[in-house]
Amino acid sequence: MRRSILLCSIIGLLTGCAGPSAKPTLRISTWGQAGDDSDYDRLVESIYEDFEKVAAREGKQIDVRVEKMPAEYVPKMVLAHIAGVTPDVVTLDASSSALFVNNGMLKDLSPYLRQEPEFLEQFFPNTLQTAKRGDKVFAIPTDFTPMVVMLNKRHFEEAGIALPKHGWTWDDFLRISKSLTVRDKSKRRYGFLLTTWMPGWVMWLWNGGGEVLDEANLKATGTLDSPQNIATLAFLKSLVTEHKVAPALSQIQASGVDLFAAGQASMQVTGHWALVGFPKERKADNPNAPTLDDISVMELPIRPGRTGPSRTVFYAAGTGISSACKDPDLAWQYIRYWASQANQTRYNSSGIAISARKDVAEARLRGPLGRLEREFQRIGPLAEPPIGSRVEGYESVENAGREAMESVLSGSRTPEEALKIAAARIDREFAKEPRK
Amino acid sequence: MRDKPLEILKGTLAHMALIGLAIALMAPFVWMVLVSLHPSRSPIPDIGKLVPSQPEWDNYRKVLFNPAMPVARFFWNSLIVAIAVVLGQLFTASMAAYALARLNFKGRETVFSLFVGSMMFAGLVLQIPVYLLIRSFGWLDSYAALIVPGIGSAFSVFLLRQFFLSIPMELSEAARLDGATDFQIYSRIILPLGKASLATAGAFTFFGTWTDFFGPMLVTNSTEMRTLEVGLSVYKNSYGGTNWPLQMTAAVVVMIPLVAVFLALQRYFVRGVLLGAGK
Amino acid sequence: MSSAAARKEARTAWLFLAPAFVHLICFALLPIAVAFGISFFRWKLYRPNPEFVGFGNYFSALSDPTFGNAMWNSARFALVSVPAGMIVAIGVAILLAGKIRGSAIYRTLYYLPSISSGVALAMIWIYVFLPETGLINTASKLFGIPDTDFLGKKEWAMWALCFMSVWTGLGPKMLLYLAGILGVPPSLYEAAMLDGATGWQAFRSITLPMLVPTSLFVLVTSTIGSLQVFTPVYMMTKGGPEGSTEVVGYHLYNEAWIQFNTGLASAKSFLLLLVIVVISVFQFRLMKSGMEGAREG
Repeated sequence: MRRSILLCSIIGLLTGCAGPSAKPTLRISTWGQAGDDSDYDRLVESIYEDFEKVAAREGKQIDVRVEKMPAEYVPKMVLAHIAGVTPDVVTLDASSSALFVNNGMLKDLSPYLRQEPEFLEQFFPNTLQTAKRGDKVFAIPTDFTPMVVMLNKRHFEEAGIALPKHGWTWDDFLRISKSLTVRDKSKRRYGFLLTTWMPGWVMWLWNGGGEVLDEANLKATGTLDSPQNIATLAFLKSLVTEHKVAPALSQIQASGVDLFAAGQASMQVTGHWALVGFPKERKADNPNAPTLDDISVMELPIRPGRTGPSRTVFYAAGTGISSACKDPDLAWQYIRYWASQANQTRYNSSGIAISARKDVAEARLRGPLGRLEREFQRIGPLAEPPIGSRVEGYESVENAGREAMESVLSGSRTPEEALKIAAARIDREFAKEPRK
Repeated sequence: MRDKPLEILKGTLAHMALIGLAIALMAPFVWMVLVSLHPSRSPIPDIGKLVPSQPEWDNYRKVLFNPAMPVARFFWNSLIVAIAVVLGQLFTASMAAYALARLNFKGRETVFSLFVGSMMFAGLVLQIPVYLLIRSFGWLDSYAALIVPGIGSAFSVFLLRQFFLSIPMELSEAARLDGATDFQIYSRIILPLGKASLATAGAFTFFGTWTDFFGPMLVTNSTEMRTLEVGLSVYKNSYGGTNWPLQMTAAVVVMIPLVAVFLALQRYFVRGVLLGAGK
Repeated sequence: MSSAAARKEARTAWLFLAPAFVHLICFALLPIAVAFGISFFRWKLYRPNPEFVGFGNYFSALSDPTFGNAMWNSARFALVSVPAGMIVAIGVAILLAGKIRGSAIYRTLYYLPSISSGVALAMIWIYVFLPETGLINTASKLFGIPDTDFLGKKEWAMWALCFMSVWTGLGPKMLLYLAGILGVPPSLYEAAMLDGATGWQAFRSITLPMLVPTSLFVLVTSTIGSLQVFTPVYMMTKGGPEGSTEVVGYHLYNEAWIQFNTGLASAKSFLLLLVIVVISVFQFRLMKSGMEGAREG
């Protein structure tokens, strides 16, 4: 008797809570962040929710449901895809978008775009490349950031040296890093903060004259382990081990903070998102932390003797319509709403990235952070799409790259060994499936 | 009977060893709580400054009342799911264990080895068919998706079977002679005698379900359906070692309900196991 | 027993089994069968066109050096963490089994580390192992032991994970052993004492043999668990540094959920299953003979 009551209550609980809502829903997927700026979080929520009102004005009663994935975004989307339950609107990270774009997971937007030929002209051209395949367009970019050298101007002043100039080389970089490094234990400061995260250092390979994959994006042996890349890794390693102008991995971890944001490192390679963490004014309880006024950005230095401009990558987000979407017209209406000037201005107000819309980005040049925005927007439009927007399974390349950098910095492998092992591992991964 | 001072010495040594071990085992937790009370984004404190001069309770406000994350709802979800899974699993597993331990039938060994064998298959690739199954029932993003896959457990069947085997067969036979049905023997004799084992299996299941990550993460989409473990995992993913105070606060928030449940149940659980042993 | 009674008993048994068995079929056996089918296809999960390759996936798994490395790492992990975990748990259980004051408090305290969640566990243990500022390095500094980056050095990372698993796995094992020790009938000890046995002799000749069934149960379940270990690696080291902690559980995750090589991941899962079944059958044999030995002894 007691058991059956229990069973009934369980069944009641299950069915009661899984009931579908009457209104049609528009499901939007994105990834979750812990975010501690509560006002901004609320603002973004309201952008999503306000679309219900917009649709209602046109006589459509809908529910907007935002699905924020806390982890494993790509696996979740792939599972949903094979089960035919992908959310209607999918937010894409350009670095992992190749898999979505190349495999029919998204609807081609070009029929809509043909009706509004001028629509795409509002965006920075390079941001459109990530989701374009021939005439087809699979996603509309939202925002992006180039990877740049971010520096703490106050440290330059204290060291009595000039800020780097365009066209600076690795020699200049090393000289500057040495001048910025303070070895005095009580106010220890590093010239440069190096990351093992491959998206944060792949541009160094390019500026050293190397590439990651061959031209057809089919293999890494012969390119990733090229003499140029070996020299680049040796240079980066020397910053840590020989010149000691950058902290070792263990020192980074032991500190438990972002050393640049704590004022203990003077330069780092990062994106626009890093700006969000800096205070506007100096705080009494943390006088060493750089303020926004202290920050400046510069393109990456190039290897001495290499010709051509400095190269860098941009990382970006965009939105597309999933192939499982039942009402693509509504989803397109949402994307246009989302990408509108008014909403992108609201969305962009956090300053986490450069808006992919030129008008919104331009308006920020006149805002309080105009100087930094100008510095970023000078570099941004010249940056190249991430390799992962072209190559499926690029995460395996990034993992192999991280492992290579870790082993080089910890001294357990030479740059040559590390890159050869990484290239072989990448080739093995790629060979698991015949690639076109 | 024996040398008194020697006994005292042995007792003291044993206590010292036990206390030393207790300190070592608890140190990470104490550290976790202390670090969670340091200001957000502050560096890892030296051991001398581990106890904050002014505890930063604001970290807890940030985690518990983050507008993007309904932590109360996460907690509620975890509780509903864990309780439902425990009850469902004890029901299915105790019945199965009764059949496997106390009834004779053809194929018993085969069925038992199917249960045990299923434990030996590493489950990560099974998430794909299980997801498709849940999808075909229309359960994605619901409590059903979080609960139903958990209400059967080969481990619990195995555990309970071992316990039920140790209950003397004569008890069942005597009851049967008195005209009791198997269901009566199961519910009036075996379950009461196996209370301790049920408490053990239930507690294992509760902890396991509460801290399950990969499955619940895959089958839920909306924020309202997140469990505490999945919902608060963003703190680790977002900060990755650059904001220990806030990360530790999130860890404490996940842990506290578990510790509370454990302390509430340990009377039945820890002693229960021992009672079961002592018959 | 008459055949009618036997049939009735069998019917009853299947009724009792039904809920768990139906669940087992739906959520374990059926998915395992599906995975077995998939293991014969080359299939990127997100592509619609699986290609039948026969045993091709099994052959490529066997010739895959990273899979071999992962198997070796899992073996290292199991060979260290299982015996170490059992020895520590027996030791603690013996200490607690004596008529020691506050035994219940100790039991509670010792169980606590076993109930931490994966996310919390990762944050705590990364912290414990941190270079310079971590708990262990802070403590070892007091004794003048030089600093070690436990999770960052390939010589150390696996042992750090083993250490952690002994620590966090202590609770359940300790309880099972405690139950085993307290389950020894006091009459056996009394008899031994009458024969003039010392405490140690009584322990060796009575307690240890009586613990054989418990030990083998713990051995079987923790071997299975340690060969499948995934969460701590996923949360803490991601298989690094230099693949030194890439255990099979993590390797399978990587194959299935990062690379989406579903067929290959399934084939590798079955190779792992084969290894686990062989080891378990061996251990079950041991368990049987051990129990018989204990009964005779």
